[in-house]
Amino acid sequence: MATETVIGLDQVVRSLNKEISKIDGASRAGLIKGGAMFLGKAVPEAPLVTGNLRASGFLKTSTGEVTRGNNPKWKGEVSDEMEIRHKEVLGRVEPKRASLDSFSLTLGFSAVYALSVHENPRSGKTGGVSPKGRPYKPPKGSTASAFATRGGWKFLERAIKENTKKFLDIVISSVKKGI
Amino acid sequence: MMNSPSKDIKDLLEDSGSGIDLVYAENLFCNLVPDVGVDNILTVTVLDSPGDSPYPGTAVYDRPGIMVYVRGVANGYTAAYEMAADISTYLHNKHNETINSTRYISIFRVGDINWLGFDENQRPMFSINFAIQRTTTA
Repeated sequence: MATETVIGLDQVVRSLNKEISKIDGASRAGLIKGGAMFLGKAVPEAPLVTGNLRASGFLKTSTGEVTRGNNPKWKGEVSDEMEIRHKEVLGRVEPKRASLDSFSLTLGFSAVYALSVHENPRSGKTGGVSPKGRPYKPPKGSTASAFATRGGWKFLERAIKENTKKFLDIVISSVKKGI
Repeated sequence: MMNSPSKDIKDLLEDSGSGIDLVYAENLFCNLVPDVGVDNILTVTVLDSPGDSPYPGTAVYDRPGIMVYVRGVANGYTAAYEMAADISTYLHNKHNETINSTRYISIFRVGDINWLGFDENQRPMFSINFAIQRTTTA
């Protein structure tokens, strides 16, 4: 009967695990960096009136780390409402993602009106009047303009779709550096 | 040359085969959400929206996006939602469909039906996004 003795298998497994954990850490870092890039592209494209919509952008990992949008500065009378909503949204993100085994990121905008602005093709292009020509009023308690003159709809979707390759390049580069 | 995706999808929705009662310029619109004169009817507008990059290669293989925007009559939430749901059911998963000489390889809904709230006239608003893959028929 021929036999072979393998010596040091434990060390091999330990070394492999060590290398894999390096890749894991590097890919997580790359994902966070890529997510920040997406958000960095989306924020300046969000319609601007008070700045609260832009300030409500956040990036949160499935491990509970808020890497963007941790301490936003709100403006106007709605500051308290914005803060409550922001914390509520950030709190809501975690349980859903925590059920997944793999690391994930959630990025978005917590403002209660973010979705309707995102989906409205007139966002940022109203010229200050409704489709019927009625002038818009400034937001409650705000001295800001009554309407956005910058930014537009689909600000987050566009940022992601137009920068997918850049995102992948960031992740790949991070993993390569980590190995 | 291919039409804008919004025009083709508008034509698809208007087709009697859709089973959805939509007529262009009456309650179905393309890229410009109507307002004046149509306050008392539910309207559907198909808009071109951001898409993905085309697949590389010599063949035309585009991946555009469209958004369908449904606006109901004042306080007509249920009817507006039902219209959004009917459109979603009709368009989602449609594949290998030729519309105006363009082959639509696939149409998939992205995300859920979005509830956008009521406008200043208490009209309910919904949006539905679709990802498209299409090519020339030649």
